Order: sequence, then C-alpha cells, then structure tokens
Amino acid sequence: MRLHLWLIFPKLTDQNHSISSPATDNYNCVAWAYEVSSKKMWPGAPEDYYWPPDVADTDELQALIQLYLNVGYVQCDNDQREDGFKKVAIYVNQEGRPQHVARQLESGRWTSKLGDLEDIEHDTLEILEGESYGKATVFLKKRVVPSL
Amino acid sequence: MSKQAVLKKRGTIPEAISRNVDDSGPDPHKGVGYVFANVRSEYWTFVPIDSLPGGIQDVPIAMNFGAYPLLSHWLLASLVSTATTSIAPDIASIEEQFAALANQWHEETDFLSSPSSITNNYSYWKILSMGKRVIPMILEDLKERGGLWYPALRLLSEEDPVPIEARGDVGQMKKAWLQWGRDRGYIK
Repeated sequence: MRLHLWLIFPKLTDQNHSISSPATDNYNCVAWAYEVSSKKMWPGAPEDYYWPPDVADTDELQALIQLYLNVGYVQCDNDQREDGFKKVAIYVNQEGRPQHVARQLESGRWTSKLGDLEDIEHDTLEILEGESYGKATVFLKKRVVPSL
Repeated sequence: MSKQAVLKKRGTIPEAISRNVDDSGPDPHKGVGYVFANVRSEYWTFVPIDSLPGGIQDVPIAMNFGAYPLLSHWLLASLVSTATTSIAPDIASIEEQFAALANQWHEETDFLSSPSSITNNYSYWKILSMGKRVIPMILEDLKERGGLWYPALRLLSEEDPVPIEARGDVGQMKKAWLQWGRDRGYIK
C-alpha cells in the first residue's frame, strides 16, 4: 500500500487494489480507458489535451460519453461484468462534472490511471468514490471481439 | 536553502500543527505514535500510525526533526507549505514561496485528470499572482515533476511554443516549453 494513495482514497487496502504501472504524466484516465497511453485526453481544453475532432466537446460529460460511443460502446445501466463485453465507468462529482474514468478488465476488476500518479487495478468502482472523484454514475459497454 | 532548513530555522512545525489540528484531537506535542496527515487534501488531522495500512513502514523516518522524527518528507512538505504560506509569508523568499505553493498544488491535484479541477486551485492562483518572475521556477518544476503548468506559462508569457500537432503529447509539450525557456534565457 502506498501511503500517498491511501491518503487520497482511504477505501484502498492491500487486499482490494494493486499498482499496475508507475506514475507518469504521459496519459490520463480518459486516454487509459480509451486504451491510449501516449496522450492526455480531455474535452474542452484543446491547448493542452488531445480530443478527436469528430467528437463535440462543448459539454464535458456528453463529450466523454460520445468519445466511447464513437468507438463501439453503448450505454448500459450497471458495472457488473458481462461475458463478451468490456465496460467503462465515468465518475461524476456533485456538480455533475466528470472527474475520472475507469475501464473494466476481463477479470471483472477495474483499471484506473490516477491523474499523473500510478495505474491501479481495483476490485470495485466504489473504492475510488468520494470527494475527489465523486461517484461512478455513467456506464458503457462494448462487445469484445474474440481473438482467433 | 532547503525546505527542511527553512523549516528548522523558523521552528514552525509545532506552530503549523497547532494552527491546523482539531481541538478535540490528540495532543499535537506528543508527536510519537501519530502522523499529521492531509487526508484527501480536505483536512488536516492526526492519524495513529497503527491505523496506517502498512503501520510504521508507511511513514518513512525523516531524521533530524527533533520531536517529530516520524514525519515523512512527504508530509513535511505539506507542513512547509502551511508554514511558508500561512505563517511567515513576509519573510519567505520568492523561491521558498514558490516551492511551498508548488508542493501544495501537486499534493492536492496530482491525482486529478480534469484540467479545470487541476487549475482551479488556490496555490496555482497564488503562483500566477507572483508574475513573470516565477517562470524559471515553473519550468524547473515542469522538467522535474511535470504537471499542468502550461496554462500558467501561457498566461505569464503570453506565448505558446507548442505546435498544434503536439497538443496532448506531454513529452512534446514539455520539450517545446523547455526549449522556449532556454531560448528566452529562463533556463541557464
């Protein structure tokens, strides 16, 4: 357990998460959930973040949803693992602004890039919920094409 | 002067603690057994070392800090921030003020991804209010620790050396700003 992470996310324990890669500012949670690790992505901040030109960025939450819809995700109503699908979850704060995105792994666990800090794998979305990230409220899923 | 030296010179750890600790909490002067922690960047409190997930191993021992040997460098940096920005702003040098504010900003935002949440931060604004003289310090911090310094650099310099195609590519953005700093004489 890294102390600096526990101070930010007090629900983290050694049993419910693991660190999967070291801290870097080369990419952020949106890019990581989008399976990109060479850029930072965020809507509405074109000077500093990459955003696909075909996705409107006027509303942060709608833009994030559209980002994933454009690559084959569809909205769904829960975070439960489903055979043949991968999922992403968008955390939204009390003001309705997105703060974080996590992606579900085949195992059912979730992978998160914590800002400029580490990537972690965590058992549930609830572990990262709180004042910092808000609550995971938007879910999308995409059918996984089985590899031959 | 190092941050530790600044802190020792002013003897501000007890003051910083006594200014922030909840009156109902443990005696801050007992020190040993508790670590003074900034929890989720929301509030300061004493945390029993035994309650830390890794126990005492979670608190790197920072030697030479008198009655508070268990404060980690990480937590110490937070105290320096409080000490230099809240207690003695009048006597801290520009470099010391910047270091304290930058440390605080990193602690409070490095885990965030939303650019508005990262820059909507008191320490960030305070650094901006210090004007162009902090540009060399921002560039040094950008080089060493990274972070969303680009809006601050644009605002202070009224320039943007990052090519459009490099936006979002942190390595390229950093490289462009550091080269700009060398070209303008901000980096020796």
